[in-house]
Amino acid sequence: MMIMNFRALAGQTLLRIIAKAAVSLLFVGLAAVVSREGIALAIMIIFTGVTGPTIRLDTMKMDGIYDRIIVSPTSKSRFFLGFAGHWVIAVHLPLIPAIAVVLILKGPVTIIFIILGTVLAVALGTLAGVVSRGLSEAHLAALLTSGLLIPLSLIRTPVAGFIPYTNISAPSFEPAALIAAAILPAIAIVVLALAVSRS
Amino acid sequence: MSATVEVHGLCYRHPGGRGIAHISFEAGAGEVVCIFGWNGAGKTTLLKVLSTLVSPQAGSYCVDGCDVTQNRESVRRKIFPVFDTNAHFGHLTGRENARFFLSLYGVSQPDPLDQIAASFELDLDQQVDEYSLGMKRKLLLTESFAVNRKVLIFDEPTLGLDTGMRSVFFERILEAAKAGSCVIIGTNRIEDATSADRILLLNKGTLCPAASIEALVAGMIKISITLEDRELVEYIPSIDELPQLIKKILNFGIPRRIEIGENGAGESVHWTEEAEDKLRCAPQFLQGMIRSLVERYALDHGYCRITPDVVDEVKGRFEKR
Repeated sequence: MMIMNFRALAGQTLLRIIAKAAVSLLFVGLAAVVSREGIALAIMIIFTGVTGPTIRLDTMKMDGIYDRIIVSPTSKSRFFLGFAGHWVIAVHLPLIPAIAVVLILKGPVTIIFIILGTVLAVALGTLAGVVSRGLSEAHLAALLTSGLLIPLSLIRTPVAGFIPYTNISAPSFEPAALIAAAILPAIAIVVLALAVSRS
Repeated sequence: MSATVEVHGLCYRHPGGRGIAHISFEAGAGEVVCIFGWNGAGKTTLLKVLSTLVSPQAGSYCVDGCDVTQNRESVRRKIFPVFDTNAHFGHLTGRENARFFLSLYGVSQPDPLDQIAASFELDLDQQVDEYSLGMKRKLLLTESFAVNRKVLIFDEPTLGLDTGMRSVFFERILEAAKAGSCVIIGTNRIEDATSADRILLLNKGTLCPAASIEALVAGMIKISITLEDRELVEYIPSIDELPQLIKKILNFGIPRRIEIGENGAGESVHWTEEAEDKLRCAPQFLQGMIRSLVERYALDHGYCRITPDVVDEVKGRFEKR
């Protein structure tokens, strides 16, 4: 059932995963030559993590599937958190070779920030998909969200410490950094659960 | 004992101004109620409100005593809506789709799924992308009968179904009603309304007094369309609806013959040889349709002889649409 739900909600095929894995490995590999593998991985997580669930939800709306889910008695918070959970896996799967490269070069604890970063991107992407009305709005929402996250994680501002992606490119393994990086993903999950609970 | 569905003064207006206003009716357990209306009458809007997809702007709607404005989730546990779109995941099989959507209703092991699908002659192990329009509809209907719900709501349920499968659908409907479900069907097809216990006529967003089939049929034009292997009978409110109907029918095959029922005008129509020659110039599959339209047009306009000009005019009207 879980695999079927994954296929239904994340809509990934083996061929697509393999193609994405090859492209991401190439991208991160090239970035590693100039010691920018962390940034490269963060950018990929932001783009695939935000746009994937947004566009998927929007196509589900166009097909009428979204309406069928909304009028069913299933708990909407649980359903959409499950949807986001499937997408966290769907984003990570093709990135496994690229993530392995980053973990080798940056240290194994980086995996925590990678997961937190994906959770944040997917939660925001799911939220954008839920609120958008139409494909163009969904694209715009996804672009704005990912376009905002990238500079926020690259530019050294007080906010950067709370963005998990900062720690993928320049990891800090202090407990305070881990807690700070977990705050935004946690808020995003709570906001998502609250936003869909009244659907 | 109270009704299963109670609707009082229901209103919903779209931003553009269209919608439904002051809708009130009740439907009991075991009852099949048809909400009949032409395109744009407000059926889909009403069914969306009844399906809890949109909240009413005024009025109340209760299912089995639960008010949708106070406890929407309780209402959702008692209904199964079938919308006019065949919403499924194309890359999954029919069975996987059914399992996914039924799991949303807490049905993990839908025992009668195969049996219901078999009655609709549906292969559940085929990918939905490979399904025809009618097969997708059958899958949706299969799902609706696999869950036991107090209220079944259907919007244009027979869209894409052939005559045989329509009969299967209505047999299933009657079975569900016998088992105690309240069935609400929104349609613009007279044929679909004949199986209902009660017909509510929806016109420009408001409900008219209960109509009988006879009252609905009076004044409408009966069209018999012969496809390759079957004959469909449709009723349309005006001849202008015919091209739209033909457009829909073309998805299932090119009509061989279209017969338009008498309108009682009693005009005699005579073909001229020149008109026949002119008609022969039209593509083969259009000839029957144009001939019927010409006959109808001639009756409407009081022609007693059909000349090449009349054929040209009708062809122009047909091709323009």
